[in-house]
Amino acid sequence: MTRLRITSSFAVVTLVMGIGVAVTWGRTIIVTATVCDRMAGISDIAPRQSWALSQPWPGIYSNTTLTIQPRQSFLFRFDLGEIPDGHRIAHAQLTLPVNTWSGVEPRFYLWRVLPDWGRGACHLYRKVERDRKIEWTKPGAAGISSDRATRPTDIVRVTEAGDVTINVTEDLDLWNTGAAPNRGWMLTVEDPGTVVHLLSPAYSAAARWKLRVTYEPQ
Amino acid sequence: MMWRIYIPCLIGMALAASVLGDTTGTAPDWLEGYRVRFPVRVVSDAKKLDAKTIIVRIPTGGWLKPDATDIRVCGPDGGIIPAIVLAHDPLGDTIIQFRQESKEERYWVYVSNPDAPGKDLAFEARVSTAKEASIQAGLLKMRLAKVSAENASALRDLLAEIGKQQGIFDQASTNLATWQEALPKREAEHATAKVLVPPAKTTLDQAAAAHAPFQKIADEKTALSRAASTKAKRAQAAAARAAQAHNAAIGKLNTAQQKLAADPAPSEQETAELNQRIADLKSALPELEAVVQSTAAAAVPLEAEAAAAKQVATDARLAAAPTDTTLKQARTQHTQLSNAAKQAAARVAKAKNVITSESKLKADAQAALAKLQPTLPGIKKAATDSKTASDNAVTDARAKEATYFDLAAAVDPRLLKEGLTVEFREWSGDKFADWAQVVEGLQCSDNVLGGAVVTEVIQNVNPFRRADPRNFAASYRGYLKVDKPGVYSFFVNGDDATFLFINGYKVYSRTGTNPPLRGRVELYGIGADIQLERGVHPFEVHHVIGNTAEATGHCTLMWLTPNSKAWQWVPRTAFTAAHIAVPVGVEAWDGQPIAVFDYGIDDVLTVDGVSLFLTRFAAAASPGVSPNVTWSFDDGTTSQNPSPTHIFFKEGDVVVTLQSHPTLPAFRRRCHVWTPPVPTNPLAIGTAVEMLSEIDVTQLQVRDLNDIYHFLRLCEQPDRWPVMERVCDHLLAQPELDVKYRALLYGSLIEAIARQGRGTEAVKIFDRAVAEIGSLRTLDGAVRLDTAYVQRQVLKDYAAAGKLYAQVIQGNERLRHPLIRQAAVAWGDMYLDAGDLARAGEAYRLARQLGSIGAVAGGKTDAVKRGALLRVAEQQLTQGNIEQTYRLLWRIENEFPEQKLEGLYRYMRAESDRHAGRYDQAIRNYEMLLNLRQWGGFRPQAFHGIADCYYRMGDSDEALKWLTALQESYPNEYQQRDLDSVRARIETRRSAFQQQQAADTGGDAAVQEIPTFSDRHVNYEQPDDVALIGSQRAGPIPALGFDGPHVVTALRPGFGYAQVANVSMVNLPPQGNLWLEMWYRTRGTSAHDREMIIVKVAGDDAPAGVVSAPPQRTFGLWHKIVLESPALNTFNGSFAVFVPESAGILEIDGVRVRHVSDRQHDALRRFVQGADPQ
Repeated sequence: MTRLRITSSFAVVTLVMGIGVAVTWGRTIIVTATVCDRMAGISDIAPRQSWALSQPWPGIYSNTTLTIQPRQSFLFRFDLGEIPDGHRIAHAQLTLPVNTWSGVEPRFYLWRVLPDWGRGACHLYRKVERDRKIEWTKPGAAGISSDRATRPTDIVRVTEAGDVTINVTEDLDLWNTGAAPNRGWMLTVEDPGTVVHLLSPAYSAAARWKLRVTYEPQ
Repeated sequence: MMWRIYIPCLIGMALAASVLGDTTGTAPDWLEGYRVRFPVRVVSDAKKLDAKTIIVRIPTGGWLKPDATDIRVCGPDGGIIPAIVLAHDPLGDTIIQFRQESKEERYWVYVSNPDAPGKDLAFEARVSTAKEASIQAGLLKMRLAKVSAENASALRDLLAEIGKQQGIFDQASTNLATWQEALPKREAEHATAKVLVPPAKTTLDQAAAAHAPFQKIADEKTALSRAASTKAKRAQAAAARAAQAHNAAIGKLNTAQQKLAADPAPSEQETAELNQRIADLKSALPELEAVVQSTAAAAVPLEAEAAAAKQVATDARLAAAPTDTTLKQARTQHTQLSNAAKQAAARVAKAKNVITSESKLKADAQAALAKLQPTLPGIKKAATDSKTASDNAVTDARAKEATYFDLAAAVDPRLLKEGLTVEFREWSGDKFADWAQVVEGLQCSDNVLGGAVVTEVIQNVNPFRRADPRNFAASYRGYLKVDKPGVYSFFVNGDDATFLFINGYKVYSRTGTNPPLRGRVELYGIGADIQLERGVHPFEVHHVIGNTAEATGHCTLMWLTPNSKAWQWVPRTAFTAAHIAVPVGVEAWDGQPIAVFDYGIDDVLTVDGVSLFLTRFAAAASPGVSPNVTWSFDDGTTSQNPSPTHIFFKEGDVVVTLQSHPTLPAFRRRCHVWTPPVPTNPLAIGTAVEMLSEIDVTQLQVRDLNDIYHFLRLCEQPDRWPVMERVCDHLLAQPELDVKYRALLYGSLIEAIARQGRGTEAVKIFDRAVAEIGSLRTLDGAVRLDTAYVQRQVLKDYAAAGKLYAQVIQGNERLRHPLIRQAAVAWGDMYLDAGDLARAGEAYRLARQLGSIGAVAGGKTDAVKRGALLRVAEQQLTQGNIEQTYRLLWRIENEFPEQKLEGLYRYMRAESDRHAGRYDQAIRNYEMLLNLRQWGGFRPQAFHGIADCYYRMGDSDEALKWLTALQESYPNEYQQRDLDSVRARIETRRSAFQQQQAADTGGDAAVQEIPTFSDRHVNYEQPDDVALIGSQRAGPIPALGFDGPHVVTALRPGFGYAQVANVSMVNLPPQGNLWLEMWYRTRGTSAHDREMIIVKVAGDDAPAGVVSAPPQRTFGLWHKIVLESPALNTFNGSFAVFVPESAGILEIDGVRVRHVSDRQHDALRRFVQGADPQ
């Protein structure tokens, strides 16, 4: 009996998937890192939000690479004002350009950040004073479920240079519905001895970090 | 629940009095007003150590006044013995020193009397005055000793320089005289030789002139002879060539004639050709013969001419021979005389050079002496005067010291100049550029971290704050024993600032931020000199480390003794030692039970940035006493367990209290949480779950609960579900929790409740979760997936699970998210579990159509990637790299779920499960492999794998059954794998088991099972444990131990090893390894790197394997040492433990050997890899 019931349900679902794929009515927008209103580099050596990575002046990103390694992470937040009210997220993907790395097939993590970490500004070479400081639960925003989400949004294994596309549908859904405030993401490297270099968020129009969002009416 | 404290019983009490010795003896009456006392007993070797004082470290944690002036010591007669406080940690231990009375070994130390009288200020003022006078005299003595040392050094250096210059002068004078005498003689020899050269040159020229015409003629004639000879040889060659041609023609003719004669039937053409050839040759022969004759004739006169010319040349050379001989003789003589003249000239030149250089040396030395000698009287006088002044100061200092001693000896045992102690403080100063700044900083550094009795000034860490080697000050105080008077050099090597005072005088200082010197240290220029007379000198070493990132906590006192040529650590024999006593119990004035406690870091479990510090606490009471205790762990949690293991979540200090008496204040101790450098026990995961189950998690902060939740999710412990339920429940009640986190908590809560057999309740939680987060599609799907897993794996309700999978896929057909695919994969897994491979395959294929899981990158095709992953996984499995195989299989099944139905994947999964000790899962995979008929090539491997799994699970019968099946079905495979030896091993083990069973039960094998060895715990509290020591060199002593009121220690400290345990083990499992843990602490122990704690493990017939590890200087704190031995492949075994007989006291307690299975090792390995293994 059990097997019979399972079989019938399975057939129905296969049918529904076939129909669903054939029909689309959503709209897709692409926002780039130029709409990122917050960026900051942090290090767990400093217990507070500390130094920043790559924005010498507002709106001008002159440095070419962004380095993520153990104890050195990067925070960023996209402004999602372009998504109109009354719509829900069908799909969202974040595209990041990986430049170079060290280590064998290194991995980097994308986390949803939980607390409000201030405005932030980024620079590779000098420490930047910001409007507020935040005490992380653990240095480097390492507190699971308090500084960062309980599980990473995704873990990316780097095998070759180029764009990496990450499914961020769930995070966008949480932010868009207001179930969780949009405090942005954090990129980290957790495996010792590995380093990942990405092209900086707004390096060029072609290689700019992109967030592609498909939404549809509720 | 772990109960490690000593439980009082008749056996234990009898043991305390008999086997383990008398602990207290007849106690004196209580001192008025005091409420706690510690019986203490001298434990140092009285035969070797002729000391007059005793130093003891008392766990006073909060029971003394801030200055500890209320501590008292009594002898057995109740008389008060003056004691001095050497180090006092208000949240820990107090080190005191007092005089030994008539070799008495038992004393009582009283604490906890708020009304104790204060100090006798008038008497203290008199003592202080005398002490100040003595100190000043001592300082003057040291200053003058320093001056004397410097003047003595200056005189020594001057005399050495004068001696050196005088030696140069004398040697130069001697050399000069010698060479000046030799010079004229050499000049005469040169003149004589020089005269002989010109005549020889004339003779040579004349001989050359006489020989020249003869030589010319001889050369001409020789040239003519050579030309004639050449012509003759050419003519001879032409004649030879003509003769050769003639002979060749004759040969050809003979050949043709023979051929014509030999052919019985020649053709006409052949005959004609041969005849024609014979005729041609015959006609040519006369001409050739004529040529031979003419060329031979032409050569004859030329040969004659050549012979004549040769004779003429020979005659010419003979004519030149006499003059040639004369010429050679003249040339040889001239050469010899020229060389003799040159050598004579060189000898003259050398003599002149030496005379010049020696003259300069002599003059320089003379000048230097003229400059140095006038200063000698003054320096000599200064040295003599300062030596006299120093001697007088020594006399004066001794007199003043005697005055002080007479007055204070009764109350200050330090005047007996014994013992070396150290006190560590938290450094609150901010500068250490000079001593004044350090004093200022020390005065505000009130926070004492701890103190200890030591035997040397050697430290490589802050022992009381090992997690942070910065911001502390260490102060060593002791007495230097000088047997050989003279000038000593001292050097304190450490991070940042170091200072050395001897007799109150600052001998050495190194200020500011510095790294310690490493590697080869230069002999001079780094230390400071001081002249020390024979005797005992008080000294202090102060070491301060600021907020220096590179600091390690290193500090050593080194010296250069008179006439030595190398720096060395000041050895322990250079310090005077006091007797060491240990508290053997703790008593309350009203006779009620009371306890203090110690602690040690048991294990640290770290994963994904979350650390659980399993800290072991042990209440310590007098033998036979078992108080009711209440712990408070500084984090809101409490415990009534006498010996709990508590879990902290970050490094640093916590103040833990132990309430064991209804009216006395709680015993308080600052405990330092850190990560000790020992391997983590795989059983620690289970211990952590057990300990978490005992505490009230609702008292913890949310931050700690987050860490606990993460730990529980990963720990794979079957008994985690009750605490998981409590944690999830409490967290879900918290406001402002991240919504995704809440979804995960709901999933975990549902599983936790279901795992405890409350399925209906779990379903209600699911409804609650859906009501709360059902509007969020991804989270709703995640909760449904989690719930479906529970329905399938726990409640076995496949219909409900299938329905949930369908809802996830069906309800989110337009949502492009990995969880949709995960639902399909999980659905396929369910079919696989049910044995419906076809449906499982369909589900996996559907999953593949639902996009990928994880980020998209790279351009390799699926087939290439899948093939590469399988190949690499197979390679890793062949190489025995199970971890990597697991990870690759995980990637394969996530990215290519249909591979779960392939034989190679299933085989690798089964093999990696078997090697990881997951035998039940391995058997299941092997059986699934046997069901995949198209993969029949793997059947022999599956048979063997199943047999091996059963053997390692201890089921010899089942293992033999599968081996037999393999032998019958695949005899060739059986032979190739040499499985007869495996069979023999299993049968031997079964036979040993049966024999042991028969011996235990008298032949009635059905009555009793032999338990598999899992744990052996020795804490020296029972006569059986004491018997296990098996050595005359070690024994138990009463003490406030870490696992009951006795510890074991080497009885005669020295340089050997003492056995402290020798334990047999029965029915050892045929897998895993043996994990030995032992707690130890050092009191004044000089544990060097070369000294090891050694464990020998032996099997039935197997030789002993040895594992060892070095103990550390623990400065009186309990540390754990861990030794791991591979499993013995025998039925019985034993282990023996040996410890070094170091100086001081090395206490051992809580020896424990446990069997750790392969599965438990694998569980730890998986745990530390975290939620996302690479």
